[in-house]
Amino acid sequence: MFDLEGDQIEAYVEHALRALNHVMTTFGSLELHDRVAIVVPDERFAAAFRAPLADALLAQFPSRPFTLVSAQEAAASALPSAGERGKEGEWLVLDSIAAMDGLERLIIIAVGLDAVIDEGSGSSTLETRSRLYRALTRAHMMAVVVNEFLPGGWLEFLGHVSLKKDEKKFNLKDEMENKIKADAADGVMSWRLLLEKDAAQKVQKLAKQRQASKGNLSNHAAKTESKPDPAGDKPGESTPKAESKPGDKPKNVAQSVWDTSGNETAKASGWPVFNPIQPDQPEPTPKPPKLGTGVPPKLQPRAYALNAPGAWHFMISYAQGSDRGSMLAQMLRSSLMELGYTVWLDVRRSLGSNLRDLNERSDVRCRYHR
Amino acid sequence: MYDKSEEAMQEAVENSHVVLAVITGDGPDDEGAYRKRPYCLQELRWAFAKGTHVQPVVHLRDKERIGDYIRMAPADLKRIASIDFVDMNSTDKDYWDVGLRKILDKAKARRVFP
Repeated sequence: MFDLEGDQIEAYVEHALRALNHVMTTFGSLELHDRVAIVVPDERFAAAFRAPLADALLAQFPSRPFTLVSAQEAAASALPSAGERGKEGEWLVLDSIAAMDGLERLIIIAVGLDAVIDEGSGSSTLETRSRLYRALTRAHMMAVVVNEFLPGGWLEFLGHVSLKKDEKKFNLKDEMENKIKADAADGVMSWRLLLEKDAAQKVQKLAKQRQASKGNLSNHAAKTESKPDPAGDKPGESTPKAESKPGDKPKNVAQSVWDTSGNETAKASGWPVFNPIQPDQPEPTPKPPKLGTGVPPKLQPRAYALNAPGAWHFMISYAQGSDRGSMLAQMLRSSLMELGYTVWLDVRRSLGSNLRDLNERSDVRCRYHR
Repeated sequence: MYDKSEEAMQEAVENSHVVLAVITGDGPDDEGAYRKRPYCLQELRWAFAKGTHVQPVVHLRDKERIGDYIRMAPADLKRIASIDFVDMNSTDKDYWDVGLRKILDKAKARRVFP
């Protein structure tokens, strides 16, 4: 992830080369011929990207020639050995994600696939998510993401995760716990897709709401000038289970899937709109009541109570024969309930009833409780 | 649909953190006065027996009668005199909120809520 400055294609070429260099470093002498696919969002991007990338490859790796081929070309050809290829060098597949459907490679470099979730039409938002998923799942062994950092994008969360330093092996237990959250996010999305005709609009609405909240939180964070929690880099100290409070900045989560050491972005500070790994952005807690003791304590409902829930903060006892008593009781009940307290009120007489009527109906009881 | 029995009323008293006793009365002959209502007095008895925090509340206009209310209370409920009454002004929201805050603060001071 990088902060885009200057020409977009040039920036993507530069960082795609870095990604390829990372692959070469990681796999050492492994021949990359037809094993690496550079996946871009569409044909237009591919057309603009191909020539500058080819030139940069030649300049960067003069002793190791690479040839950019389309997915169709690669799929239509047998795999010649290094000797048979001659000067042609190793093939790197460069094509749009649409052209890569149904194809896989050992290594995928996903270039420029992200987009801001709440921009454009709803269908394009979901299309972005689709192409990211399709690109990452083309890889057998490694997927490398090359993208400008887009606040509000699907990949924004990568600005808040890091690879565990002393445990680079995949940790099944930890990632399964993370996956639960990821699946939940997918579940929400699937549910929206399947059950709502206006799925895209719903997603955008959600994103806007969260971004609005993020704006508030970011403002707060800017005021406090807090810095990212470095503890997140320490295994075990920052986990997806950590509870967050409103106003907190998202912590850096150590995990064993994404290596974000190559990130070069300074913009990742707010809560990601989409975040499959970290805890959800904390919902603002209800404002504490202006009066009294703060947030009412949670009550434990009692089983087999005569009246549910069987426990209340307040019970109001008042004389049924007094209009003042009735009025005060009702007003107290309303005020306390506005503050979040539960109130048991035995309304034995409505306001305005006279005492005689009351006495005649003294057995009539109606209980309001919450 | 709700249980309206005396047992249900006792349940409410004994399972509430605070019993607000809205005490009213317009003199010794007022049959509608709080002290004349058997259920009201029984609710206080249940609350005291259970140890539930009882907070007496009066309307602002009854503030001057607090002494009378205590004096006329049944002997077994005289202990209500040891509790600071809160008077509520229902005609002004700011004053009302002050009374409400007092009720909540007193409950807090008594560590009523867990």
